[in-house]
Amino acid sequence: MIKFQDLSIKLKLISIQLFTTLFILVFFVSIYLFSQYHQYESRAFTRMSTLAEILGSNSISALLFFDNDAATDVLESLETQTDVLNAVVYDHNSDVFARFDRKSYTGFSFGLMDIEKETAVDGHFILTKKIVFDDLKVGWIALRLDSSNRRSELLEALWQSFLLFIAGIILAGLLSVRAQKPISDSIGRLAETAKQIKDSGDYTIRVKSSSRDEIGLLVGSFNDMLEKIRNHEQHLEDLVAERTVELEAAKTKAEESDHLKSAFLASMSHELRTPLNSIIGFTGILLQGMAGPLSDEQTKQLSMVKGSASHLLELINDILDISKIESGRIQVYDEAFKVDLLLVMAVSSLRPFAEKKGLRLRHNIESSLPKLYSDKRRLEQVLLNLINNAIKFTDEGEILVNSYLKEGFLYIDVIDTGIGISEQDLETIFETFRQIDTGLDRVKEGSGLGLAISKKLVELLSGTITVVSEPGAGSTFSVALPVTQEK
Amino acid sequence: MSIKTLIIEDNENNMYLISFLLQNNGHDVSQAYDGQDGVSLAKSVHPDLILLDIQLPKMNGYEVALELRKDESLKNVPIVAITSYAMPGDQEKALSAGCSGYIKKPINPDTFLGEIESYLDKK
Repeated sequence: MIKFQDLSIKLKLISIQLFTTLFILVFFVSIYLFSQYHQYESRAFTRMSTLAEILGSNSISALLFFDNDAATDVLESLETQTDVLNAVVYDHNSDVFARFDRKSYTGFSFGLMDIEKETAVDGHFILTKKIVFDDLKVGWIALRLDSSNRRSELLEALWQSFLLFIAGIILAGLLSVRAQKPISDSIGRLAETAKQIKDSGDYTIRVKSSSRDEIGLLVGSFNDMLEKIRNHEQHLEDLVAERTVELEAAKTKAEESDHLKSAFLASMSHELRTPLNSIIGFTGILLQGMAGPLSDEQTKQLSMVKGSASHLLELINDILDISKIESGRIQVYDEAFKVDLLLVMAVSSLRPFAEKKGLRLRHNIESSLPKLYSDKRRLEQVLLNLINNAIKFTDEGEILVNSYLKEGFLYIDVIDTGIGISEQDLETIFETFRQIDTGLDRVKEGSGLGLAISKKLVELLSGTITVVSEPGAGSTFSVALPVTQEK
Repeated sequence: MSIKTLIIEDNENNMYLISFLLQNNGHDVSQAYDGQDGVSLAKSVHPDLILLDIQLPKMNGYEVALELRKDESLKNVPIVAITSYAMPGDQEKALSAGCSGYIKKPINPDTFLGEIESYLDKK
């Protein structure tokens, strides 16, 4: 069932008007019918009284001359008044003098004539009246009227009322449909526009208003609100534009300074390498004995110079690398290559360093590894760094390089039996300039950037690098690379 | 017959270092300390091998290489860039300017000779 509340304004207005009209019509029709019912009785008695008056005065002479026939003739004139059933003229002793009875209504007795009266009983009206001549009562006249007409007349009135009622409702309906239009239309327009604005987000739309009533006021306020929203929006847009300009400027400035930083790094790298070139070059020449024979002590010290110079070079290279990676200036060149070959080469190239420390360096590579599509040079850099670290931090035991396929990824594990890494250090080991504290032991040579570089390079290759370790037992660095097809 | 090598390098220490290495191994060394000097010396000496620094006064290494490659008689002389430029693209830039090869500074005296002489064989 539809609730009144859920009806549209239009239907509400129409139904309110219709119900009001209906109520008023019912009210007035009831009053009309009620009065119609009651007036029928008084009208009937008025008529009977008039008839009695006329018949009475016409019967006076007959009564005075005891001429029953003449009185009967007078009463015969009632033949035309079809609802009159009985009429009796009495003499001054209240004895029947003359009577008129309609067919099948004969023999009705009015009873004793003592007072004038009007009564309504059993669907009949009865009226008795004195007949007076010169202020002298000469007889009585009594009339009985059939009141069954009353019902049909009432029904007719009812029928007429019903027709009027229907006409009224139709008229009211038509009127209300037209009358509610200005109200429901303006509210409808407002609602529709509000929805349109909500859907489109266009706050430049305005609702037109023609009335000065509450709806007009509402429309005015609505438009004012829209204006405020629009201004606010404009203000926000201006702010955004302003901020965008500021950000653009800041971005340009940042790009400029980034460019300057790169230029600075390039030139610093150059400037540092130039003197280093002489240091490493001359040390090499001297150690080769090209400039003359050296004593053992001189050879030992020159070797230290060479070692330090090499370390310095490594530092410069690492710093340059990390700067390039961090500024996104490093490019990855993908190519298809055999991983097993790369692994064997890397292991072989570092084996002499491992053996020099008395460590075993071996590899365990799963057969039938697929060709990898990646940056060979970068992967090699990562592997060399990991194996180098393993050698550096292992004093006895072995270093094992494992490679295998698992769940669409190629894994390369570098497992050592070295000093291991504490839980605390594991968290920061891939950050720049972090080197684990080796306690009283000499600080292992290195820039502290190797693992940070390796992590970033592996990520550039869409892979991951992880580490598990137990202090004193060794560490396992694991690189996982997606095995992708050539693009 | 000894190999005629032209070294174009502005740093005196490095010039001395490379010259010393080459002379000790029987090269006939010519020296130029800037780009312009290097170009004119190459044209007069007609070396078998040119070692070229990139950051040079007056004319940089790329310009020198381009200039030398224009000369018909120097077209096929191996030019090896020896530079400490280490940013991405440096190597490509040297090769596209006409250099035959590229050795990154600092040089390793143990392997340097072998490296540069390999370019002579390729000739």
